Amino acid sequence: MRELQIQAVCGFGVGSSMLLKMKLSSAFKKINVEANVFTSDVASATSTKSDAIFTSSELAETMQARAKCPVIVINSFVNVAEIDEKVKSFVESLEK
Amino acid sequence: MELLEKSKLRIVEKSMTPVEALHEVGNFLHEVGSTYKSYTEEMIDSFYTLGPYFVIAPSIALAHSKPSSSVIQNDLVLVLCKQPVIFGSKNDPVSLLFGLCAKEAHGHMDVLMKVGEMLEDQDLVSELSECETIEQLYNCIHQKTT
Repeated sequence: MRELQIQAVCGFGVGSSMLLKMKLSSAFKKINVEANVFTSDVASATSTKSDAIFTSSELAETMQARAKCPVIVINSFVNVAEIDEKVKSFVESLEK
Repeated sequence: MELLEKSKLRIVEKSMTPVEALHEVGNFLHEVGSTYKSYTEEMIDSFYTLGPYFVIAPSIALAHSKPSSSVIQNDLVLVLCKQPVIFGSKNDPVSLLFGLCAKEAHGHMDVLMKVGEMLEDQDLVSELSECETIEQLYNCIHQKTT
């Protein structure tokens, strides 16, 4: 599989998205999938090319309609089990 | 930058609305000399425009705005809300209200990483919420991160 481009999105791309980016990077590493995880802000995320957007439920709602890639909601940015599972099912959806 | 030293911890007993809570954490960042007052207004504006997305996990909020001229230095403070705050998020109510400010986008990576690891421990999160004094809060944080 080619390297995936993954956006971690928060309001400004500097606070909570940074936290999410770290957890996402390690989740992709755990399943040996190459991914470039980068942070974005909610205003520019949907016009940035990527394979998936990971974000909170509030921001997901505002992006869903405009996004050209899956928008995946993470309820808890510190719940490793949730993040690992959602990363895994996203990767599996690509393989189908 | 040391992670959450005692001067960066505060316990608030009174009940607060979301805006009052953001004022509290914003003023705290200002009082420790890390932001100008305008940063607090920027945080509150972002709450009005983007909603409570900064409530990043059950009972945990990471309030912040973007790097701007309102920021004097990178910092992280913690307000323990003894009357948990309802922000209108799925992860309500919030006991641990962090306030973050950064001069540049990647200015706080190491501190955020440590806090992120610390908060993975759900038992610790409830332990922190139950602290009654700054001393307890400090010990609780630092037994796990050092």
